[in-house]
Amino acid sequence: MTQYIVKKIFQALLVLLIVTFISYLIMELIPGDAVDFLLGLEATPEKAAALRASLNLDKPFIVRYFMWLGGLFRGDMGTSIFYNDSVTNILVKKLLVTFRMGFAALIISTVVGITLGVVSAVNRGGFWDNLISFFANIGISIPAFWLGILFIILFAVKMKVLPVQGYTDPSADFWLHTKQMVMPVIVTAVGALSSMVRQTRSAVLETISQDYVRTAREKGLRERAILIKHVLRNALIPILTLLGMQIRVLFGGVVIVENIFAIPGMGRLLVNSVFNRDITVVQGCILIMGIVVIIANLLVDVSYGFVDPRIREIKDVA
Amino acid sequence: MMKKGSFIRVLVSRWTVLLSVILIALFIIAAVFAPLLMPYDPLAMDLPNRLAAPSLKHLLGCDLMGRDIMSRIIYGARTSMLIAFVSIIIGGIAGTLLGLVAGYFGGVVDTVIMRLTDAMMAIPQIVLALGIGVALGRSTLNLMIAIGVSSVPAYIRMMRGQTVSTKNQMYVLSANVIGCSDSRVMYRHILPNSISPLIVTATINLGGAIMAEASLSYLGLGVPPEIPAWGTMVSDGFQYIETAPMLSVIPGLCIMLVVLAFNIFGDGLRDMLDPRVRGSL
Repeated sequence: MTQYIVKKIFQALLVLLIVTFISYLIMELIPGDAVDFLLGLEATPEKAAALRASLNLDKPFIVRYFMWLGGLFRGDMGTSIFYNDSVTNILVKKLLVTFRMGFAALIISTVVGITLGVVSAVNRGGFWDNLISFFANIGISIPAFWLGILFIILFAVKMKVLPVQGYTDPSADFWLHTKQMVMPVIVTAVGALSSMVRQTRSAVLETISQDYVRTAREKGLRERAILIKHVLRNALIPILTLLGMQIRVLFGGVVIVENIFAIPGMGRLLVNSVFNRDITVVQGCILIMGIVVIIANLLVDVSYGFVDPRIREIKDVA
Repeated sequence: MMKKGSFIRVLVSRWTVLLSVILIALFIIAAVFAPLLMPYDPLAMDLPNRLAAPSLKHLLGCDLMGRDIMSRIIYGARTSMLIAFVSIIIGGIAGTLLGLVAGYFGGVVDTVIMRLTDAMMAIPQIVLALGIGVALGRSTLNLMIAIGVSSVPAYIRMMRGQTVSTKNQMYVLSANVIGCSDSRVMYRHILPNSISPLIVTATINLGGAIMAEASLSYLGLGVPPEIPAWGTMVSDGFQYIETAPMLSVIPGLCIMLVVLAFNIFGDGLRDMLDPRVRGSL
């Protein structure tokens, strides 16, 4: 088991290193650099060269990458040319907003998604199954930005029960904060929830048809006991796999949702920074998202070992 | 284990697949014949008709610049379909080749390709497409490349799995033994056996590509602003949701319908092509 975990950690670190390289490379390809932005019309060749040297932009790409990577180890992600502040400082403030929203969406999508998926599978072919499957199909196909707008039209413009958009810190006004977060959290959760329903449904259906479930039923166990002890435990692996991938999907959703509802989190920062050509901030955002997704997947990999003794043993032998 | 409802379920699922095929066909016809079907020039501004309500002259009304919404929706289908199909071809070819090579050769090649895939899978697809799109510069072609590249990991994983499971089959080993070159074995023996999962992955990814294009256009980072696109229309209409909500609702509905159709069609295809699931829907 320890060997399995150590191997997974090394793999995760390697992947993380590649993510740092990708995020540095993508931004490096953008034509024009910070000097063009900072100097604008005042640029003269001498001034530009001097500024480039002071920002280390005259060094070759790979040298700058390693300098940036070295900075990362000290928690230094560079300086934003737009906000004139360190990227780490900016991101820490935005992270909390995004995490709070993403975490709420994750909990809702997992709990509701697994419940509806089980209900759907147990009533296979029945009314509830058809109804849930229908909405799950719509849920994975609906664009988050459009759903957000429909919600705003319905709940904010027509019914006037929720504020249109905006963000208030929970410490300033908790009730307003909660009201403002209802629509963004639900909109973020819908896509992930729907794929969770579909995955749970097919995982449960797959296990329900196994011989050991038939045996359990024939030896007279109650349906509830069969469902919890035999079916759900075995259906947990594919569900866990999806759970790891959900973090990535939720981050993607957050980028869109924060922009609809004007929430000052990482997603909005990322899009604004793309418009501002604030390269270091964009790199920082991509990197943080990558780190969180990699950690989530690592946790899922490790938990496989706890959930399924077969995986633990096979991996140790291999 | 047949339950009472399962027959109805088969019917219903076939029925929805049929409906999705019809819907996809309609959107493709709109895309291909857009110039013939559009009642007006989608770019022609007509300020007196600003935000005009639907009428016989303008079936879906006009937008904030007086442009005919019906024409823009039809042209938007062309934008969506073109970008989705081209990006799927780009991503599909690149991903299939990489997955094939990784699965066939194994070892270091496999490790390098798969860790690169893992790294791409750690970044949300929309963020990856956004980053690549920005790096390449804003144009329709670059957007196709960006969405295509961001979909590559899905094909790599699928194709690698297929290759690993077929490369030890007797017919592949025999081809190796009689001296076929690696590229011939991959092209003539392994690839044809992976066509059906490849088609399913591509179909489902078409919906994903349309969604990615629409989301990027919504954020103002998709197709150049002068080209009519559904995502841009939703975002333009957002300022007028209190007075003219249909400006955002109609193009959004088109995005949802076409993505839904591709998803249902892809699921239907998978069920039909996968003998394990066939008949047990």
